Amino acid sequence: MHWLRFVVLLTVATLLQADLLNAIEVAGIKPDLHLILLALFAIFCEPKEAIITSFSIGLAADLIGPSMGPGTLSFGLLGTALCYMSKYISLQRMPFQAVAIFVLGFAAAVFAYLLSIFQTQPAYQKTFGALFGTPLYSAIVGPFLFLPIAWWMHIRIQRRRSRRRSNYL
Amino acid sequence: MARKRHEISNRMLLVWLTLAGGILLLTPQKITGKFQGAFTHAFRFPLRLGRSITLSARMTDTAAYTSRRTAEQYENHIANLAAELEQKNRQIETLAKIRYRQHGLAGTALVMADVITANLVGSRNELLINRGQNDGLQVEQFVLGENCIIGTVSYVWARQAKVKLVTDSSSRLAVIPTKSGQKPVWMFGDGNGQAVIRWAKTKPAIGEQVLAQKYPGFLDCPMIAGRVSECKRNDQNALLWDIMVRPGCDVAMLPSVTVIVTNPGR
Repeated sequence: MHWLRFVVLLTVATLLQADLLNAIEVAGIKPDLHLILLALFAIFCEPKEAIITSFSIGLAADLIGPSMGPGTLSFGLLGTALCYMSKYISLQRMPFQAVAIFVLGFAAAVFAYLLSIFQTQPAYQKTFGALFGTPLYSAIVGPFLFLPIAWWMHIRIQRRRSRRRSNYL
Repeated sequence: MARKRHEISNRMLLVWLTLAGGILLLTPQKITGKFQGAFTHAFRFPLRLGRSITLSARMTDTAAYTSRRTAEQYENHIANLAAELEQKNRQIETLAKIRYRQHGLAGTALVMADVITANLVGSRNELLINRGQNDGLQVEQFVLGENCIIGTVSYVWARQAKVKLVTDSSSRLAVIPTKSGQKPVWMFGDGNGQAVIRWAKTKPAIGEQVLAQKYPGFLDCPMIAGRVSECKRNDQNALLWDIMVRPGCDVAMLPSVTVIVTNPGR
């Protein structure tokens, strides 16, 4: 893992997420770059790297979020869980990666909301946009961003081709 | 062997980071907010750049936008003057022979602030502005955009502040619908770019002005906070109305806002 590259990537993603992505929002919903990064590192990295990156991404999401803590814990724990699950479930194809991002985003939103109840001033809200809209938008965009991010991070992504095409070749 | 002794297992790493996250979660927001403030302060230049790019991307027709913005400014200013005049008349009727201030904002300081970031996605509707405690800002102070109340200061750092908009799902503001009733009622943000007044007994006209109730120490006279955009029957009681209120200006396009500081010398 190239940690310096990871820090640069995370900082850029956080700055983009803070405001610039509002330019491509649809019906008040914008993709979550942190969620996409979380899924990428959880699927394609070793467990130790995945744990560290998941918590770091959650911390970065909290820095521009409503409060500190819920994002760190929800991203950290769910990213770790996805990392261990990806050993048993093949997530090499883009549709599966999209589904993984959606499920991860939905679970992270619910978990963050539940955790924020423990805070003195709960700031996370359970709305349709947070629960379904953002994960769905991220799931559509995410798999296409995996390749450039993986190139920058020097992570090898081996995507399976469809069976018919591989037979033909 | 020496190298192996320093290695930490995945399970221990997970436990330590989870504990750290738990501590962060339970730490008061007043303390953790400083981390968020430090981040936005450290990266204020790229954040401002991003904000200006977002604004320019949204601004498709500059001339139409400028004229609409000017019209909104005048409409809101007229509504404020009308509300102020009405309040003065009422005061004159009830408390004659007492000297009043000539203007509702007399004696207050208006602090102009640039919008660093606007978070209007989902239920959170907040602005981050580049003025803070050093400029006299305090929590609960009212914030104007295009002469219209758009929210209140919710968190203050030394040089920055967070503004909770009236459309934020956790926002609550005492308002007076101008024609349908003079009793103040609560207006709640619905998190979808609008606010709602629940359980209203009378149905106001679409486009009717909704004024923020005066709040001694923070707002000396009522000011416009939005206009009625829709009236729906209440789900639980068909005799009552849920009134949807649209803010008096397009908050997403605001490059700057004004904070009302009622005690500038303090």
